[in-house]
Amino acid sequence: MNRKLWTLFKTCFFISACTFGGGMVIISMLQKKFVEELHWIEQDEIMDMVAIAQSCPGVMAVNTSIIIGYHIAGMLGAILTMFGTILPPMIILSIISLFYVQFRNNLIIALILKGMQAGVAAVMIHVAATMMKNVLKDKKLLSLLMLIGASAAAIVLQIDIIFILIVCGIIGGTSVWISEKRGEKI
Amino acid sequence: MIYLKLLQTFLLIGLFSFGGGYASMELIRTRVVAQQHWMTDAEFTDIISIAEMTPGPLGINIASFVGTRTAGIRGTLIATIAYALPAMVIVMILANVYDRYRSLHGIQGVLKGLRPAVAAMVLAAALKLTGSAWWGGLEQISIPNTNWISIPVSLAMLILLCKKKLGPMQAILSSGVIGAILYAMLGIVP
Repeated sequence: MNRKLWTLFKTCFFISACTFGGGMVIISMLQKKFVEELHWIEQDEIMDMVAIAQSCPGVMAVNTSIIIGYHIAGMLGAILTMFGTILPPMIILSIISLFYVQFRNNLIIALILKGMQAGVAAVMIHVAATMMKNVLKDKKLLSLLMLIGASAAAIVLQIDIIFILIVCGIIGGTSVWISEKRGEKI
Repeated sequence: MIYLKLLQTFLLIGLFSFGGGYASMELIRTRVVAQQHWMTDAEFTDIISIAEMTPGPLGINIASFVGTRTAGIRGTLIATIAYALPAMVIVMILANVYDRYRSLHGIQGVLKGLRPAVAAMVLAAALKLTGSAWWGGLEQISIPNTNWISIPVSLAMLILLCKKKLGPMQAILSSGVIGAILYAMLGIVP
């Protein structure tokens, strides 16, 4: 059992420490290790686990590793995989954070960071456009209205995001409930 | 009490971070920059660049950075764990629900409803960060404030992201290099 726990922690730690490029990359590494190498989880199960991880708030990669740990070794497993996944970025970023001022005062780095602002803007616009396209994909009037309403509330009226999320969640839940009552397929 | 404020702020951010790293940017920005003034908009953009260059999930990277910057190592621990904790509790509850019913039907309806809100959040963050990259802030849009290097670099990256399937990390890195060379050539000191 101890060996299993250690493997859980170690695997999550190394995957998190060595993987650039965010959520989906980490998840495919976890899948390779736990499904294909160790055979601790079935392929179907991991698909469901990712779906659950996506349904929860927070970081998808962390959520997936928590659910893998929970599945294999219960509560203790979940805690270990969570720490395994968050420790590497935590250590790296706190070191960068401690030296941020010195780091920022270096002329070359300051120039690069200033240049990067343009790239960050481009990435954010791209992500926003992709997400809006996804929302409108179902061609439903409700989605369009919710998108316009939520954007106006967030950008023009500056209403708290958390409030907008709660309202949209309620509307989404209710609309599914109503269409189920009518016997429609979603 | 800075520790309590960090705990409270990041528990709330963790609880409402739906839709992945970029989606939670606006949530983090409104709490960390606009409400608590733990950093400026420019610093916040720096962190997104740094977090994109380092391994690990974006949200965790930002929580760790903000935690350390505001309250040292103890701040790191509090912010990062507070950020991951709500998800951990909800993940375990949902895993149990799922084991019992083999379906997450009702939850999926709510999640579908969240999508427009998530898209709006990203749009809000995108406008804010674009404003600060192009004019030094949305409040001060004007010709003299315009950054004539930032705009074409952003647009070029945007085209590459859409058409050439460039990754976000490559886009940010290349804009950093191109931008730095152009600023240095024109003698602009940040």
